[in-house]
Amino acid sequence: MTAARVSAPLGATPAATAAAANVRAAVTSACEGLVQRETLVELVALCAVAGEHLLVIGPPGTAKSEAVRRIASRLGGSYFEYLVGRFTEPTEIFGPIDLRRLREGVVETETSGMLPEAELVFLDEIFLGSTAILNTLLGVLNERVFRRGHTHLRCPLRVCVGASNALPEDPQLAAFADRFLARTFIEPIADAGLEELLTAGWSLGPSANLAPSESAQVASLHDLDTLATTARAMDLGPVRGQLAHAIRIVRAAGLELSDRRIVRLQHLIAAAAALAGRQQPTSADLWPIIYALPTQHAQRLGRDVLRELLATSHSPALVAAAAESSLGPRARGERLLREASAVLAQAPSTVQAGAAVDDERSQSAAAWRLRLESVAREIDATFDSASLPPELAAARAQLAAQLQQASPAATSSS
Amino acid sequence: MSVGGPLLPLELTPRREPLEPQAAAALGPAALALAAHLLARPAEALHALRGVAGADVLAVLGAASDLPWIDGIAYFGRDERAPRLLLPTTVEIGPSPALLERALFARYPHLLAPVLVVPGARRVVPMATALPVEPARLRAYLEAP
Repeated sequence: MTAARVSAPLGATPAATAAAANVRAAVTSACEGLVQRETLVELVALCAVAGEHLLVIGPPGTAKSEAVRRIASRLGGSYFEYLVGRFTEPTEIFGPIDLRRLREGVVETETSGMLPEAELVFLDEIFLGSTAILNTLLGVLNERVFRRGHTHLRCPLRVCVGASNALPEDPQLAAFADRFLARTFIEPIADAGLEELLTAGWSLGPSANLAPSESAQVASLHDLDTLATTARAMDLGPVRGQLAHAIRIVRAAGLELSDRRIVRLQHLIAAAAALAGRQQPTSADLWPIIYALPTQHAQRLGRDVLRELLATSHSPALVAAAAESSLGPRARGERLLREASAVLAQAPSTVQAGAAVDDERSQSAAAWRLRLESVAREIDATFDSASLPPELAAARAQLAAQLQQASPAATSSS
Repeated sequence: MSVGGPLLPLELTPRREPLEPQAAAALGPAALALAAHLLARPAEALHALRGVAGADVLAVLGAASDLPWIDGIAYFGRDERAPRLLLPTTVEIGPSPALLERALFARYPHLLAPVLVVPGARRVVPMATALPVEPARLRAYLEAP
């Protein structure tokens, strides 16, 4: 079973369709080996197309930086990453002062290899930055312009991902945080995913913390720019009524969205449509609303109150993000299809030789069988036979066949 | 137990959002297949399950991640509108789960909650007396005439 295909609906340009397919491939590649981080990876791609920024909130050691690093390497472009601390100097992020020019009485910053020249940026513990750092960052985030002393530089920044353990409570920091339109909240891996986490973590080995390499690139900045152009050219008229209705529902539930966030949310919706291979957004592309809600509680409540409106959410390119935001059956089915495809592709390899051959193979097969059962269980607990999507029904049949093969006496009732 | 005659006309529609599974059940030949499947699991994996067995039904309670899977099994969860019932996770029972709950317990006052409802087969399975699932009990179930 292959990964979800990006089809070419009527009206989609070949260039946009190809770009969407490339970004989709980049997302799929970046997610390999990551456990339960698909939404984060997909949101980075969404924000890069939309020209917006992403805030990731989660405890330390939850693969936030690894996920961002991976998608950055697959998308190409220059990448800058830094762990911000209370005593971090602006020069560590923006570059040192050019001493030669300083002797001439001109304060210029040497930005080569630093944030102002990066196309994808990840700043960990971003709210620990000093006022000097955050004030300079504001200009970069809002206007894509770096200003410091005599240096005025237009920045090629596509997306800045900021990470923190928690949302800031300080009003000034909260105002800075509002510049990150999209937000996602990361939790440690649940118990059910621990075996997969251990397997994936061991497979990564010592290469886990290396900087992105050019050889990993799958898509390109040209693809991002093609999709961004497509998104900017879209007519959002057909969905503005539904979007306004959604905002009213959200407000009626007591959730606040600033006017700025409401207006800029349209960028995410248009980007979602472009990545889905559409020339114009539809109701299937409204799901980014959830990620524009500012807190974890707001996003949970938003999913609940917008359940009906987001029921048709669908993104062949951003499967996990659409499914997680909408709780809709179509998005859920696509997520399960992707999980079924992934686990079917993970059939355990044979062990070469040695006294432990049978034990290792047995344990490996048993672990795989448990993963097969887990996906089959979720499919049957989610869809009855009449409403099971055809592709998912085919995947289910493959799962059942593999489980039948593993235990012919005990698995099937037939 | 089978429910003699319709309590009220039931309407079955797909749920927009599935219930969290808290139980699983298999009927007919699938019940024996489920028993064999559970017997093939390591004994420690059965500790998380409690079950009820009948002539042609086997039902188990447990956390979603601990519930077994075989082809033909069905999953059940709690709808907050009918907390004494375990209802199919994928199907909404109309006109109202709350009415169904009241009607069942009014007609069968000796029933103890939770009660698993299999609408397609018009069966209800009282789960209050569920016992720990153990290999010896599974073998006895499989060997019973």
